[in-house]
Amino acid sequence: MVIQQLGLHHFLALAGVLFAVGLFGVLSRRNSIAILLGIELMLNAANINLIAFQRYLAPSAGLNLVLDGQIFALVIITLAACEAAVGLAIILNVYRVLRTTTADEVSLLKW
Amino acid sequence: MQELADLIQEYGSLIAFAGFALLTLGSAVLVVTARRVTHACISLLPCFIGIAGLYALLASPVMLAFQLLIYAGGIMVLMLFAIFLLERRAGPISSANHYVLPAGLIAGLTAITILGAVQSESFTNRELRPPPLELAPDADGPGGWYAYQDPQTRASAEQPASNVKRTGFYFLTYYLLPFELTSLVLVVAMVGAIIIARREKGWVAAGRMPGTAGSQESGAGPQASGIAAAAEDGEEARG
Repeated sequence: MVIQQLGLHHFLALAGVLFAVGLFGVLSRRNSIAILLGIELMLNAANINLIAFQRYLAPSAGLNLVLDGQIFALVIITLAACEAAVGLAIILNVYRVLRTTTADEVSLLKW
Repeated sequence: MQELADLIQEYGSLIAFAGFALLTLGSAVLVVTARRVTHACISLLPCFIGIAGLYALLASPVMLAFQLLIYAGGIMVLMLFAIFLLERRAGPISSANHYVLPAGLIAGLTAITILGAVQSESFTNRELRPPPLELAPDADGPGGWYAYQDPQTRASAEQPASNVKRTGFYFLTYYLLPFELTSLVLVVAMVGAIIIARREKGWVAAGRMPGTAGSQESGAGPQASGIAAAAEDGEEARG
């Protein structure tokens, strides 16, 4: 019996499925906050990919251990925090005006 | 018993990966299917912890720490606060809406496409091995688990051994511009969030306008007039 060793494709497959789950959440949910939760899942999937690629593909460049993937991922985490803060502020304000957080009912900009 | 120990020794990382993957995906599915938003939000916690475990498997203690600090400690708590503010009267959200089927189709197609691409030889290649890790007892600083390093890599002032120090070093040298730009974006986003979420008299009054909530049939008319009235209210309040 051949048991595979832990390889890059394991992480990529996991991140792909996680991304698809997050996409499903974003598309199927009607509550704005639940949509934001789905977006967080998708961002995390991207981060896993970045770190996995860094670990498996980048590091053997002699003395210079490349950390590009990790730097990218840290910047993405920061931007995710910004996105969550601004998104929740907008949802809060929308709730104040329209008394709802359901994305379907916020149709002011629809013609 | 010895066989079991050998098995763990040999396939330990695979077993750990399976555990973390199960934790991550299981709670991710809960996040997108839970009927209450609160439950969905709390399900994010095991998901983020599982992802942090994956970062540990990928020898990235910096990402592990920041995943737990920012995602599990910051973003999730922020979301929970927003839910507590907003979802007081809202009942369980109905997951049976007409978006589920098309969303499932699109997400399934995405997953199949990605998994198909991952099968490619360039990713499943067995030659593709990460460089071995070893604990560096002589690492700069008080040794310890974070001192993972590539044995080929000599520690020096310019190339610190530990992942943590190296990240900090890169951020303040080669990646100084992204670092500063990110901090600028962070400041702008936080100030913007405060300004957007600030309570204004006019907007609060508009919340009581009839026909602004849940009036799908009446279309945009009453809502638009509600906004216009709100704007007028706001101007009156300021003037």
